[in-house]
Amino acid sequence: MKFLPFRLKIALLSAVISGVVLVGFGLAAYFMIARQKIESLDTEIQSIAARHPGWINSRGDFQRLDESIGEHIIVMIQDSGGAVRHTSSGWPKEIKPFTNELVDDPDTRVKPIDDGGSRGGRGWGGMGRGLGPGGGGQAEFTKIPQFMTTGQWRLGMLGTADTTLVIGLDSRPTRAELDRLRNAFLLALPLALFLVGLGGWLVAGRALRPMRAIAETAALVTSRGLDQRIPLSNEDPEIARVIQVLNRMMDRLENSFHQATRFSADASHELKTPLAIMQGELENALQDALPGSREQQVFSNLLEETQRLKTITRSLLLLARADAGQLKPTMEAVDLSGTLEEIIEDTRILAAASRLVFEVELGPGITISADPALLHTALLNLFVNAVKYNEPGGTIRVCLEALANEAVLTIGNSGPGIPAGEKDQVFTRFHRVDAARQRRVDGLGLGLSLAREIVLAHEGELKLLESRPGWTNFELRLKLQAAGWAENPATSI
Amino acid sequence: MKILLIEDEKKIASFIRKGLEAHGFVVDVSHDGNEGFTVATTRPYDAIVLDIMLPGRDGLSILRSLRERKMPVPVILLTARGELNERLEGLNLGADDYLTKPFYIEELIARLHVVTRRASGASQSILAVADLTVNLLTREVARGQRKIELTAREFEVLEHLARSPGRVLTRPQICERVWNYDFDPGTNLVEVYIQRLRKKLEAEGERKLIETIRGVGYRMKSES
Repeated sequence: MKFLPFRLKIALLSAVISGVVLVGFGLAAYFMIARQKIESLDTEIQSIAARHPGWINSRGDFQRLDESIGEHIIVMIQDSGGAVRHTSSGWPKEIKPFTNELVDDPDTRVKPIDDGGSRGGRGWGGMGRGLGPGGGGQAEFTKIPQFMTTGQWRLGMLGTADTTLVIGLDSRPTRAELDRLRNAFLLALPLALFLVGLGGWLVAGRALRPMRAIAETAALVTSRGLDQRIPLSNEDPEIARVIQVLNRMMDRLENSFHQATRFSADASHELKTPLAIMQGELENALQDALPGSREQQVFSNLLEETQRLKTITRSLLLLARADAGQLKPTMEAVDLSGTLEEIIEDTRILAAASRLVFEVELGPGITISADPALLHTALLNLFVNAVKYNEPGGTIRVCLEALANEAVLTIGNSGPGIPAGEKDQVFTRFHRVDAARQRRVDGLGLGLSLAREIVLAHEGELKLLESRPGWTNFELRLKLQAAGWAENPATSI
Repeated sequence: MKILLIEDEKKIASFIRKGLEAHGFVVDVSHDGNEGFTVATTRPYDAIVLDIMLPGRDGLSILRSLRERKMPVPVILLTARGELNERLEGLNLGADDYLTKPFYIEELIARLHVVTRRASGASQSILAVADLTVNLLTREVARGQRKIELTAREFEVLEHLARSPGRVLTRPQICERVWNYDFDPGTNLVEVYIQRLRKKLEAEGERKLIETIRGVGYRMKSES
């Protein structure tokens, strides 16, 4: 659907261009054919005149002439002064005798043509209009003939020295033929335009197919991981080049991303040994120190800081694993309602200082399959977040229900809300809402992004439902445990 | 109790040894997989604390060989990785427990107690401090004849304290052990639970059992 406007453009453009060309070509062809038809009528008039010199020479005996011509031909004979000597019986009254003078043409001589010899050779035989032999003798047309169209008749004026012969041929069959031609063209034009448009549409679609493949792959890169590549199926060199360039770009992206991930994982891993040593030594030193002494308090403080480092290290390691797609939860059946009850109980204690009001609605016995430790971390981070960003005396509302095959948990807090511009960033690492930063809220800003990664690893969904001054609501969706699973927990591994 | 510690990182081995010795364990240390395996098969120990990443034979291979020789000695694996498959492999090979570095010595000690007790047939299932008795199996708590009802969390806090009478436990330490919370704000929880425990354990006229070490943590009064 995304490419439809472009395809439409191509289709319309090709239709318009070929439309203009076709119409131009059609008009030119029509006029040329029309002229040619008229000219062939004129030629026929001349040839009729040439074949019947008797009409000029008959001198008053027109009886035979009238009998010999059909209804498709009309004939009028005038003398050079303009007086009508004869009109054939079919001559329409509205055509008046002609008064125009014909000009002498010394070069043109229309010779009477021998009947037998001309038929086959010149192709006029087909035009036979039932004319009988026009009498003997010759007529010499010495004037430049004139032609005109009057109504349905094509008239030709041919002059000898003293007589003007006007012959009219019925042009209706010619007209009809031209009309048929025009109609056929008008009928074929839309069809041709439609076909051209359709062709343009198909060609554009075909040309865009690699583009669509590229776009789809690029979309997969964001959703599934950087190992996706565009298949190099297209042989067109231009497209193949685009694909190559993009693939190479993704190679580099993947490499540097993996490097960053590995670095992050290695670093947190390497941190563990020194942390273990610090913690162990401090623990021993703390036990050896005099109870309540200054040294012991220092050791205790250091131990707490070590604990903090451990937390950060663990979060970073989990995030690095999530980035590398290695965050694989060990699933078992977890009583989500019970887990939440415990966490809420703890949260009440944690939040005691800020006198928060809890509104809790937990559907009982909602069981999901999850990694208990990871789930705990994710939930705890959400609750700690709800406490941290709340106002003293504020509210935390927790609601858990089972909908279809999902457990839906909403955790709302009456905090000041997340500014509109920062809503997209709440799950970003090390991001802390500005207002909260000023209130000196503890924490690194890893909690929500870690929670989100854990939820994603569980194929669940965590999102910011709404945030306005005075109410911020997160929604967590996790798949309910499939029925019958509890009897066979071994399948989790 | 005699413990064999096989750990190549000398500083880690050193604090573990110190911590265990302070709790009355006798500790032999080996810094190398091959040597460690020889020691483990030639001398009797009550438990082995075994690092997975070792020069020479690695921890999992030592464990496998021990179990192939039908040596039932309890083994606790140590690792810096905490990766799931490693953990599963370890437990499948017959490890009794598994600890991810960094860990608290107290935690290691508690687990050592659990695995050796399991191995010796649960003879030490009752912790006693002064007139307080904590039954780890039935989860019954009493002071003298007075039975005390505790919630699951309260029991865990008390168990943790009663395991190491006379030793100071810091708030993060208790928090990590009982709540599995490895972050700060959890320390509030410990204070609240200690107060609840005190209310139940230390009735009018009874001797105080849980001592606050200001700025450090808590400890269970030792005998006397």
